[in-house]
Amino acid sequence: MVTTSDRQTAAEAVTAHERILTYAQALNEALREEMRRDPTVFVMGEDVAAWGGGGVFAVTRGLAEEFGTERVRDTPISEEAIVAVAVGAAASGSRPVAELMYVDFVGLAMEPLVNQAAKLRYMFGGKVSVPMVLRTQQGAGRGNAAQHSQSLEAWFCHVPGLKVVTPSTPADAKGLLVSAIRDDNPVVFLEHKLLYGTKGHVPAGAYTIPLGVADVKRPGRHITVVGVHMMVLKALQAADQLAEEGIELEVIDPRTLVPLDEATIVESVKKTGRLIVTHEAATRGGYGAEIVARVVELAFDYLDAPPVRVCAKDVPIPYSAVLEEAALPQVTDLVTAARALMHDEV
Amino acid sequence: MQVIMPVLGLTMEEGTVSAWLKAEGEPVVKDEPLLLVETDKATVEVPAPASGVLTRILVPPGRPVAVRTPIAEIAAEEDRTTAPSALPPEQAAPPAATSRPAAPPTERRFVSPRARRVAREQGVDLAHIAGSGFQGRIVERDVLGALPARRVTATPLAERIAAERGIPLEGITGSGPRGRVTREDVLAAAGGPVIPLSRVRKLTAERMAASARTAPHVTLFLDADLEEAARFRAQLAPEFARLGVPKLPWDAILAKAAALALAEHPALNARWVEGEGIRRHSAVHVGVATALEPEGLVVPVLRDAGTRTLRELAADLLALIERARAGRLGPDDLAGGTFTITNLGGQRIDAFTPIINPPEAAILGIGRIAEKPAVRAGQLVIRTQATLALSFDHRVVDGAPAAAFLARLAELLERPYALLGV
Amino acid sequence: MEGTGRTALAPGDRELPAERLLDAYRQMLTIRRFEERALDLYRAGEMRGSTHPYIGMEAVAVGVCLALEPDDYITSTHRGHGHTIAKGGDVRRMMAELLGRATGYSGGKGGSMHIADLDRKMLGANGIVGGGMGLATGAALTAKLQRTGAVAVCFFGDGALNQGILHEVSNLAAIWSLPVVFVCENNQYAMSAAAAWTIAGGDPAKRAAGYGIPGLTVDGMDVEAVERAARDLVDRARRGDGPSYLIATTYRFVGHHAGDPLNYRPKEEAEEWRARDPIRRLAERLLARGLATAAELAAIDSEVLAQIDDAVAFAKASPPPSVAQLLTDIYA
Repeated sequence: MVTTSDRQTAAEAVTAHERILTYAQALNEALREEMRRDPTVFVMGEDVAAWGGGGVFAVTRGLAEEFGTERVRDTPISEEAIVAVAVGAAASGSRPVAELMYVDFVGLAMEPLVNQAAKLRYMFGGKVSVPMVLRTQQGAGRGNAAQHSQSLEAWFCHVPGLKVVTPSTPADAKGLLVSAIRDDNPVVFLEHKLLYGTKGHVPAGAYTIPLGVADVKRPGRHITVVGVHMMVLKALQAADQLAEEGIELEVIDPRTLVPLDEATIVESVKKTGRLIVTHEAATRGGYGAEIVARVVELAFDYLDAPPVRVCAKDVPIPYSAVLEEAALPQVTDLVTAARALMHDEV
Repeated sequence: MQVIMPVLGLTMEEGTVSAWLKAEGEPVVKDEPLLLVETDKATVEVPAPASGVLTRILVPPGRPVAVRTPIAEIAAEEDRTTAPSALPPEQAAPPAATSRPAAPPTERRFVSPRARRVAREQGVDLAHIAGSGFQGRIVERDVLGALPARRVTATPLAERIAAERGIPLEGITGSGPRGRVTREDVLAAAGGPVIPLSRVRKLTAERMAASARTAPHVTLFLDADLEEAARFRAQLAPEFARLGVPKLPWDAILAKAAALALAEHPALNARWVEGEGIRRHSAVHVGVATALEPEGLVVPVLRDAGTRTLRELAADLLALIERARAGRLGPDDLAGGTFTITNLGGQRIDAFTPIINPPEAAILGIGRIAEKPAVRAGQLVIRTQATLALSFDHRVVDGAPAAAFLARLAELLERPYALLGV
Repeated sequence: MEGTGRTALAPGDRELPAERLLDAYRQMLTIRRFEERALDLYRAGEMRGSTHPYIGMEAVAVGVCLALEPDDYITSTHRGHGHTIAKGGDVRRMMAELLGRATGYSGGKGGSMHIADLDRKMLGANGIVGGGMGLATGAALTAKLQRTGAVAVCFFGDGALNQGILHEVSNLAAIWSLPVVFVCENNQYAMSAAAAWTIAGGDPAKRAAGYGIPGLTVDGMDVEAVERAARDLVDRARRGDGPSYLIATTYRFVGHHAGDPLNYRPKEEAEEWRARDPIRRLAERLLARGLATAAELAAIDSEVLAQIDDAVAFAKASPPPSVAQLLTDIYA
């Protein structure tokens, strides 16, 4: 049957069914549900069990209590081993979810990620799968300075064999992490430290968001804005401001950088004719350049203005708030860039 | 250097050249009148910005262009007299980006890829277009602005449909004779009619989708013998009519029976509260789903259906339906239901699986009440029957208690006199 | 088992049955002939890249694998042919891979340095020095978590003794008590770098003491000694008593790869080691113990040669991969 009751109770009921979770809670739920579903899934990393009952960002909170420390394994500070052992466990029938506390530490672990995880399947002619997830968090904005604030997604995107996921909302975080865990490939799952506390509606129970499907977070006619992580949120704020001037941004979150849903981006640019890419990673060699390149290749004849990058300055992330803010792309930078595009200043 | 459409007032956004006072190739002297510009307020004489030769007129008289759009080019005297190679390197540096608009070299015209594509597709010669983009770049709007306004012809029917649905004919390619836009073209462009959502339709859609997505539904079926209930109703109806209640709707009988059964089976008179648990209701308020075509469905509520008399319920229900059809249901009429019944029996439907009205725990669907064959004491007999369908939220209640409730409900309908109070 | 030292384990009287020893002989010979033929093919220009022969070290792979069950994992090195054969790999598919053919283990995508046989729990040769260490430790973690009873063996060279990852996984395997045995094939040279110079602290087995795990040194030219030492450590791991080091002292009779100038080591040294050829040594024992006749050994040799001939013929008759395969197997 189809029924509805009155508006007030309907609104109340909808609210009762809305589950508002933080990004960290959504990730925790994905881990918990997948660990319940699949006994081969386990978690390991530094301070994932003992510290505060589950991780310095609380993503693994309560998991050790439910699944025990066999499946929620605190490790010594050995980043290369964390990743390397995850690769070996994945190649032998486990589904490890390894955690690096900060993406900045991946320099210590690039060898097993790049030369082992990404390549075993190809080198061995498809005879082995490496179904592992490397969870880590990146991003600036908290005064963590140069060695704890980088956004390094482009490093991973450059390596064939890895998938790269960058959720910006709690609901996306859960659905994408479930997909990442179930994926038979090594997936670098990049979270953002400032997003952990953000809240949003998260459906209950198991659901997946396929890797390689972008989400148009806000439709608009004038400028396509492709953002990563925090920059999706900032782009939405910029869109609110610009709407008052009649400038409409179409904000796209690719959600996964590899594989990239280039069709959604290209279709959007065909409509708008203008493109801004925005990320907290340094401009030079950033993934935004890749997106620009693909748009130029696939939709050159639809561009009415040069694509614009609104990304971090090419500088180590500084400590002082004044400097850090200046290093990072801000809402005002997006607004300025959008105005310049619309007013023919670029 | 470029001559641009000047800004001649704070609010001026575009202007129209009403006349050029110099022809292409003519020498001009700085500050002598070059052209007349018509704004929405006045016609203004515009002086030449530099001395030299008017090499090119980019915008002919009569066409409005945005302010700052290049409208002509003057080969300035300085340009011709000073050879860049003669300058020291520092001074030969390109103008700073702030000196906008900088003059592009006249021999090279910059065109955005999009504008180039549109021009190609529309057969527009870029040589005759002025660019309004950065440093005079030709962008898409310049090409579109240069297109002659297209005269669209359409059949009268196509015109009417387009007008009704607010579809601009300009964007539609006609397939009729001489490119006439036909009814089929309009409908194809519209992608079929799109019906905007009313508030009720939208709420219905959201809530049904949420219910189907979150509540694990199980539906139980039971063929109830309503022979006695039909007799009961036929005998009571005239009595009710005598007391001012013109009809005794089946839904009133069903609501009463459901309410009595719910009082005995409180597990179904409950709701799922996300993150908390199951909340049982102390009172029984039965909603009756009522179709409002085409807006959607509303569920007016019979309060305390278990404790009030059948006559009161019948009277209430008739009044609620009347108000619903008149669109005059108030919030109080709709609030607080703890269980819902929905009756598609009038539509020749035998049975169906209703979707729970969230956040309730269960819903009763009633199929067609009609004479159907039945077996009684080994004999095939014809009895008035209906299929009752009970969908319940398996998070809240399990199959056995739901089945017991449904069986009790059927029992009350099969021996209906208890509905009058025992 | 605590502490380190040379064959601290008493070998006892656990001798392998005759048929296992004859199998070992056949495998060692298969490795030798395979590698000799691979060098021939390399020098004849039939192979690309490089090939790293296992000649002289056969007793290590074969001795360790004699102590393993079929479901036990091994990881290998860039010098991986011997490990693959010792774990039961198919020389036809190996040779086809060396020649870059579609029928090779990796369909021609990996070549000599990237042969894996997952059916035999061989997690692959590895072009990164120390690359197998994490893989083996991870496989041991799977075995522990899923209680499969399997053990993982990590083969690596003396060069990899000085990779940081060895420290990390040794420590991790020790604190988690993982069923992994780290088998160092100390063939005395990491390319040109002499082990005597690269390894601080003398006997590398002593490093195990730092992790509180056993470290044994064994004569890597003696397949029976290797088997005995490996079996003790593998059994120990299987019992849940955790990881260990086994340092097998050995020598590669030929260069690091076909293009090795071999200017960094004295000819006499190589001659001394050649005098301890593990295959000849085993043959002498088999004859001395009356477990085989010279004619029987000669028959094994000719069977092995025929098998290698067949493998080369198979490889050469196989087609190269289709270019359509280029972009497959990047992702599952």
